[in-house]
Amino acid sequence: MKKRKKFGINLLWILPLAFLAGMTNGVLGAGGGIILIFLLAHLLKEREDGAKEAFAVSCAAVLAFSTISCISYTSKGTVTFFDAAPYLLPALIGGLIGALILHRINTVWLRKIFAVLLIYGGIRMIL
Amino acid sequence: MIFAVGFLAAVAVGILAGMGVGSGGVFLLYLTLIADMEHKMAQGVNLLFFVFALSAAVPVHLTRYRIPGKILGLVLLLGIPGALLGSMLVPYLPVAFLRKTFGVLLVFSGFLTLVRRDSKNDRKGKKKDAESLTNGKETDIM
Repeated sequence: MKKRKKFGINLLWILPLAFLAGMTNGVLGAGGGIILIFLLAHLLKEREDGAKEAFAVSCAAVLAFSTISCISYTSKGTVTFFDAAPYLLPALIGGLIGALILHRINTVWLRKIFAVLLIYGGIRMIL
Repeated sequence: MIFAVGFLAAVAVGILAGMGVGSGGVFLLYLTLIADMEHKMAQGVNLLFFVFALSAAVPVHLTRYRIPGKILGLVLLLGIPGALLGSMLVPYLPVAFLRKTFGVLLVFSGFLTLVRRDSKNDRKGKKKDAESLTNGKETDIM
């Protein structure tokens, strides 16, 4: 019990949600971060910099999950490096720019606009 | 022209990925609905895309935000086996199942983002420091 209080969170929640996030990332090719950020932000909200820590942990974790998943996908021939090659340089450029400008941008409305896009795209996927 | 559109779209999504604005679903939607890529291949391309985008973004974030090592360790402890297991299942799962499950996840994520309240600090208009993350609000990753 003392260890849980020291972290300010219930450790028992971290393990199953992490497994679920990793599995979602592997099965669907996306979505692990969605699970992690929502649940970590809730679990860490009592900590002084909980939101920042949740964001940072999610970023690093999704990078690890995606790397592991990529290795599996390429080993099974589901995708090759050349399939993704046209998108990798812009990914590097965009990722760096996004990280550098993050603290200058109010992302609240941006997230809500993309939330609408996600809902629309999700419905198209389902139908 | 098509290449230019794809390049610009990828840069835009990369920027969003670096900012943590729920872009994983958006890029996969682009690859399947606009680029007309086969769904499982699109998943793989999306993963590779995010490996590269986050490889550029994470070091920047590490210089600004503290990562609680023990929490990250716990997340990786079962998260990595989960990712490995999930990716190994993909060849055996029907595309329709993957598309619909992904669709449900997108709708759920979008809905939660719309109904989520801003942080108390932001509502009260408290002073934000230069290192604050998106003005103190939570963000989405992928």
